[in-house]
Amino acid sequence: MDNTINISKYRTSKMLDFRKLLVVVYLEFRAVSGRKGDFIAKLTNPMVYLLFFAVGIKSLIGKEVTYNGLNVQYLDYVVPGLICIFMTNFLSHSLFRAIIDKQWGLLGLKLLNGVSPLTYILGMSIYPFVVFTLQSTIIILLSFIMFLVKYSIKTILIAYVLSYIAILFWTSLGIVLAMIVKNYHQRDLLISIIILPITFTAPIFYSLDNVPLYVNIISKINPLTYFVELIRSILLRKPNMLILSIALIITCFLVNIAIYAIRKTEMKSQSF
Amino acid sequence: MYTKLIDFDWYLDVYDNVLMGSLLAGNKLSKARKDTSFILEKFGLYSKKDVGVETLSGGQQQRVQVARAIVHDPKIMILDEPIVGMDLTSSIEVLSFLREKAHSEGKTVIISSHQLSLLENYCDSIIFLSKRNMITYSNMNDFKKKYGKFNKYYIEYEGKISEEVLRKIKSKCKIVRNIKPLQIIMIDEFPITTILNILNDDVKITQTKIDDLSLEDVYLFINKEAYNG
Repeated sequence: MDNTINISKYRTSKMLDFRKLLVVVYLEFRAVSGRKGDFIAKLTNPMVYLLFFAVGIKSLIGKEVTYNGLNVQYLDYVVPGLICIFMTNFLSHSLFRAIIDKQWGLLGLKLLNGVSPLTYILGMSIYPFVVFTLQSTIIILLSFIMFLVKYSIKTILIAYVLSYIAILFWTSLGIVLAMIVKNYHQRDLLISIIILPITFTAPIFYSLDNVPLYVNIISKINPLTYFVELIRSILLRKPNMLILSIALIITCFLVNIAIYAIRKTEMKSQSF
Repeated sequence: MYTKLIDFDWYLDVYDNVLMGSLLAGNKLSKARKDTSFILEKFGLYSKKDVGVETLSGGQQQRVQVARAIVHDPKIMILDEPIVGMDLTSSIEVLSFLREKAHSEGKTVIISSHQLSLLENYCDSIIFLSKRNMITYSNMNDFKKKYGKFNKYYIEYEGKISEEVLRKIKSKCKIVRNIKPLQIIMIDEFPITTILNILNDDVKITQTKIDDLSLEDVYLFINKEAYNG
């Protein structure tokens, strides 16, 4: 009997191991469980954005905006955007966590123990998805209680399910960047370079129907645009299959890039 | 498998860092928890289970890493410098635990270490490596017997030994340590007086003591590079 262990097979495994997935998910939840302050901040931030930022802009813009040629209430329009604004936070979350795994040799340990790259990526995306769902629920409940913004339960549930595509995208992007960066300076630089432009060039607070051409063009190459449009189209009951297809394609693409990046990265402790 | 580098998830506490090892090995959560508590108890870390690994001393962090590496009770354990940075008591506890595992449960424990004096008392077999080559592989008792016929001498002296005298001594015996006291191993049939006579030309000998070879001495003895230097 050949008892040779082929280490490279762990790295190239495409299998999704449900048990290992649970292990990665469990460890991620345990990792953040000791940081209750961060968790509370994640839940209070949506309230601040809704009660001060969105309501403040509404007083400037007016009650209605044009969305796909239709007039909709500004808060109906902006709530899906607010939900999506927090997605980008999970880019930095997964970047931080994956760098720890890479830097301290834990990624190698996980892969050696049968956690395939795909299992790792999916495992890393579950905590962000749970937090995202909680944040979204807070915004939706608060906007209903305070401003009577109503979405149907069905559309909310569909939006939650589809938002996982976006969470997977940002988690994968964080992991890809973690595999690339060489030190903490690069990491911090990337976060500051990426997050702000992504947030402000996506149609979160404004409608693309009324913006200058250059903003429209830039927003088209911003992945957040498609996720905002996806969630908004669902919540405003104007489902757009093209947007859904684009969101799926770019997410699949990035998951594959993340798998490739994990396979190619050096699996040992690294000095940062 | 285990590496001597500090590899922790700094977001996790001591307990979860060790639990990770058991979970990744495929154990269910209930068993993993039981095993984790057991190993932490054995390694004297149970009282530290809820603290962050960054608050531990280097030796304690080392114990956490060894605990994580073996918490799932593998059949074969390959440990690279497992006791580096540990105090003597902890080193003995860890090595005793590993020896017990090997003897009572039939586990194979392979330890790579430079702390030969400790390994001498806890290992059954020994492999000496030098420059990627295996110099020797032997049962520890056979190994000691093989080199037991040699004696080590400690020679106390006053003054400085010249290079020429050192060269003469080197041609007749192996110098283990060229410091005061001079430590030599007699390998040929020469009596020690031959060496003492050579030394007397240069320095005043005040005391001579004989001892058995330790594992460390044997390593220096068979590692040619050490002697050529």
